[in-house]
Amino acid sequence: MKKILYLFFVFLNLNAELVLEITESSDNPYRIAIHDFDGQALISNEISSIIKADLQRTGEFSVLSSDELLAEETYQEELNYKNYRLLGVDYILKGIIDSKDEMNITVSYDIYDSVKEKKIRSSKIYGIPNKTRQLAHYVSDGIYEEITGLKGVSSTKMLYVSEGLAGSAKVYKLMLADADGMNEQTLLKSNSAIISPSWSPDSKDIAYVSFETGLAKVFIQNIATGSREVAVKNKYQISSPAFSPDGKFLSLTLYQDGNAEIYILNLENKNLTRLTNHYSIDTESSWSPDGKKILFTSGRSGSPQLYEIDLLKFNTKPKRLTFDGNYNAKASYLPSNEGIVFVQRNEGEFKIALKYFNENFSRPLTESRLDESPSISPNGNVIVYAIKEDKVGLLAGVTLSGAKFRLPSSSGEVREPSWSGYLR
Amino acid sequence: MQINTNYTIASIFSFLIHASLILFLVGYFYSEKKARPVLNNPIDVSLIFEQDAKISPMKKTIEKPIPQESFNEIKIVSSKIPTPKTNQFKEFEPAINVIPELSKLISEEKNFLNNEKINDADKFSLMIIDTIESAWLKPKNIQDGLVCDLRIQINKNGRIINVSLFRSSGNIRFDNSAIKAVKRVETFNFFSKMDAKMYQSNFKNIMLTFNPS
Repeated sequence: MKKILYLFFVFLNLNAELVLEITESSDNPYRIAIHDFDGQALISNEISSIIKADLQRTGEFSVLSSDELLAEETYQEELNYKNYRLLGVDYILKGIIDSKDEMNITVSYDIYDSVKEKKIRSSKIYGIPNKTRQLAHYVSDGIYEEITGLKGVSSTKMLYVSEGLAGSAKVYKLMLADADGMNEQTLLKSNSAIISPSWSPDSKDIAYVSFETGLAKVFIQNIATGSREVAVKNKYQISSPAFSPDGKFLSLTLYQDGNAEIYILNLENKNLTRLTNHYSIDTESSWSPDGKKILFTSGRSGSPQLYEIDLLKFNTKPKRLTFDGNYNAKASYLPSNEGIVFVQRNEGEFKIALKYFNENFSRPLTESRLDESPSISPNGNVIVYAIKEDKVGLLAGVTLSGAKFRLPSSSGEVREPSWSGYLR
Repeated sequence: MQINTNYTIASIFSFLIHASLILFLVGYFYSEKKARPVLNNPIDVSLIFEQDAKISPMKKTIEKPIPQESFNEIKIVSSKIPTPKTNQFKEFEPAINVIPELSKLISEEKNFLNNEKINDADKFSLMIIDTIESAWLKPKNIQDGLVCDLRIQINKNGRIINVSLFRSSGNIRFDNSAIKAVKRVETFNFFSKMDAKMYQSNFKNIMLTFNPS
């Protein structure tokens, strides 16, 4: 029996500011027929609509609702697979929601394969009534994983910075929300800029840069308790923190040598180790999924390009990874360690690009003009990034299979998204 | 003396442990698990998009029986030839020239007949390739050079009853797209034209290679 523990975060603010909008779908989605869940209409409608939105946002599903299906199919006990196949349906989802008990809500669902003509998954999930969103996300992650073999990311979180005006003063907020933009929560409110939020590998702590002391300083904050501390106490500017995959180190950019260099901070004993030494700027470090390499942006060749340094080899020269375009920056590794995702300037336009290590060219993923700060989902299939539309910052997402969506905000600007790891 | 024996025992053990460690590191214990499940004469059907490449995997199966048949044919013809005496050799010369030609003609005719049968298998393989090719959508943004193998089981009505990933490409989206393509095909409607023997020997279990390069 799987009991879900929703103990990671406490949400007080439930009014949702972000609304999801799917702008483009994948060219070869799985077609899944989702029948309305049996049970109390209000809750079952809510849950099934969240599941549908979750699956559509992955870009790999095209959802057929009950009203698009043949009427007789909906009420039949025995599935007539042939009819589903005629509709091009690959999978069928049926579910029951039991919410008679006031303290518990149970979702049971079955997935059927229309070609194999049999049930391929049967699950029962327990939750509590005021956490129906998380319950629904949990169900959609199970469906996604069963069909695609990849873990779902609907129940993960996202960090981003919002910028607005309070009277005449600028207000910066560090926000936390579900991967679909709902359940927003403010983690930090400040009159000075907040940049570069990032997650610890266990998704319990975050690191970010705040200018509240006048200098750029890296803070580490616990999400559950809200307690925070300065990572490195000295008089220099520090920026772009990134946790190592084992959570024991933090890579940083320090400006103490007159220009930006990358350092590694041991979080246990607070020792700083210098990683790069070059008179040009070295910044925006990120760790490979195995923790053996660090990727960073450097101007050592005259233009910003991406370099990789091997931490296991002593004193090695950083290896240049990008050769096309005159601007490649803000890179991070795919979780599969097959390649990197970064911002590339091409013909004056900033786009999110993907480069596989075994290929000598990069693949542009986006088409707008001012795309920045990409952050990859833990399953490596979705990339969330910041865009500018009518000079207002918004968040958008693109999946590797080509689907696109936006997370538009109703208040102020949002930017610098950062995707959490798996939370369960 | 007691200490010495202890030392020798200890050094023997140490030697054994180190030797096994070195052997392990060298790869002595590594044996490739080629646990290929027994297939009922699988045919390798390669999904390659070039026209000439498509036919190439089938050539193997065609070529094998032909020399055999023609060889048999020659044998039969030559047995009919009366063994010539050495002094009669010149008289027989034209006859020898005619007989190989004749045998050639006969063998060609036989080959032609056999070819029709083999071409059937060839034709059905091509039809399978075409059907799956048209159902397959290569996913966006995947690396070049990915190849995966699928094993499919087909019943005699042409319905695919089982698809399994035999060799992964390493990229789950690529593997999924291949499985999706096969599942969407669902039924090969030309299996009714196939005779039972051919189905049993060639098309019951098929190995499909997805190689878009």
